[in-house]
Amino acid sequence: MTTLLTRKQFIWVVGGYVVISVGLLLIAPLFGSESLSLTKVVNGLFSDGTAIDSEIFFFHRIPRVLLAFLVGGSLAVAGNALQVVLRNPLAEPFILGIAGGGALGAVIAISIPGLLIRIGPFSSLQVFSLFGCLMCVWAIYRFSSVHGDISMTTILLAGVTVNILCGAAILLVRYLVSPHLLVAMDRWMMGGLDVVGYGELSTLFPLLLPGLFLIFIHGNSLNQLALGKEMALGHGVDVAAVHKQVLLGTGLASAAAVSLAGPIGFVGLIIPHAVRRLSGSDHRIVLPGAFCTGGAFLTVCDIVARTVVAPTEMPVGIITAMVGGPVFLKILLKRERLS
Amino acid sequence: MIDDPLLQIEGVQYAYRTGGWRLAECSFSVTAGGILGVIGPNGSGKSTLLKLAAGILNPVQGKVTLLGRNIAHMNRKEIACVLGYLPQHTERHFDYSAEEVVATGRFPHTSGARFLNAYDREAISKSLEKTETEKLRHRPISSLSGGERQRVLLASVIVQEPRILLLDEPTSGLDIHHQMRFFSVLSALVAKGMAVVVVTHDLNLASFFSDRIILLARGRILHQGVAKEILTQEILEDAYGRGLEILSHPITNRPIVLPSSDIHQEREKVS
Repeated sequence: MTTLLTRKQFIWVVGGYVVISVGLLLIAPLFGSESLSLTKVVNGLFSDGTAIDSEIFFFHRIPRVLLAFLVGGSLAVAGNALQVVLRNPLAEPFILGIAGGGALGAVIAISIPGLLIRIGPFSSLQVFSLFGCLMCVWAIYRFSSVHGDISMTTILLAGVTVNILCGAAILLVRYLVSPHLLVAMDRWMMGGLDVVGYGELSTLFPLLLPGLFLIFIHGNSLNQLALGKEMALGHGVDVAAVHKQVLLGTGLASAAAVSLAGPIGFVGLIIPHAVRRLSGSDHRIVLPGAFCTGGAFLTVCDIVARTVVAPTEMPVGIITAMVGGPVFLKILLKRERLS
Repeated sequence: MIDDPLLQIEGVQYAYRTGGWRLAECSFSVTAGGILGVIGPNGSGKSTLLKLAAGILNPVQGKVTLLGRNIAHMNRKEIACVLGYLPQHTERHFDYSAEEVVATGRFPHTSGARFLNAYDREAISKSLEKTETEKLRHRPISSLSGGERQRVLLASVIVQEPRILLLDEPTSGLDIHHQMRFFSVLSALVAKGMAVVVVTHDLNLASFFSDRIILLARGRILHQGVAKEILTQEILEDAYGRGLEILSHPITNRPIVLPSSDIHQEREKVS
């Protein structure tokens, strides 16, 4: 965008993203390995007996589509915020060690057969994964806090280190467990959006909503940070507060997403770049745009994952990586040419 | 009172946590309608002093008073409404247009969703006009030359409508033509009642445009006064070492600093 953003433009552009997303959300549940009859789905709503089509549509497809959209949107928003605060276009949510922490928690949970710790709708796997994510976010936050501000260089190094340490711990657990558990571990790490009903879906919200709120309130401050920390300070931005809140927000939102859907890669990396190309770099547009586009992207990837090898399905992480890999490479090559 | 200082630095000291270098006690005041030049050799503490004055660094001792209020008790927005700060290094992570960069300076005056109103837009246009950058408004910042970019960044600080401008080496890397244009813009702002503090390595620009000069060396203020008092052989040799020659401008009578002719003679001897 080369002109100054007006309220009217904002409404039109964000409205466009929302309309497309809603359209996709409406048609996405119609796709899947089973073909459903819409008449049976609607009739099932009004009949007393069990209607399979209706059951699949309302308790499998819709929760799954909503999960894909929320996870994709959250990862894209978190990735965009991190690319700005870390001043690194290759940053993504998992740079905070969340992927490593979440995977370690999940692997430990899977390695203890019969483990049953349920906290409300949270399964034991999710509890462990969430705990792993939050521990890593906390550790990186502590390492990087320097005299009231967050050191952006340290956070990158600490994130990489924590991911490596978690990787080593995962290998150790994998080495020690019975081989048949390895399949479950691998499947979790490929990312998946299997949910049944709305109970599991609701486990996203306690961390996701405050996380996204902390990022969205700083849309304008992120624009300021794009000119550098000192320039932003000069323009009246409380940079230390913005850094802390945005990093906490990305940590919470990503942890919520990872604990339920596994480490789905590339969404948080490529979507912010795509949205900036589509509608400029004003973060008041980019944040909602990234949420809608990230959500739509993962929803479409999930449709592909569910249908391409029907009646079985492919882990969605494979699809996102297949699309994301080449895009990532293109960004790298472009930077190389620019430098 | 018109002569009341807008910004007052009283007994300010600073030490980096890594130890070693310290900025010794500094005191000076900034009044409206003048350019205060801050000069000194590399590592003398010019940028640190400017950051302390802008409230970006907190002094270990002493006080910075901005319009009668202790700057330590003001939030960043309150400071930005009256004080504009242009750092030595700025970054460009996204390719905003010149107009968008200038618009970022309205941040302290807006709230909520922060869409710009008619007054903000007029302020942006005026700032572009003052810095002679109206024609660049839709150009991506990455496509501008060094001089154009500096003037756009200056516009983004002016648009804050501050009463004081603190500029850290704003003309470094610019050719003499762009340096002169930049300082001419500053002179025009000062004529309208703004106070400007500018850190510069160019002693001749400081001499030509500054109403007062502060000379820093070895982490302390060595001298402050008008150009003629500061830019003398004895004082500059104390700060920078030997090898400088001070002449007088034939028209303005202000001091001009040149490399010493001894150096040229030594080179001829060697060759």
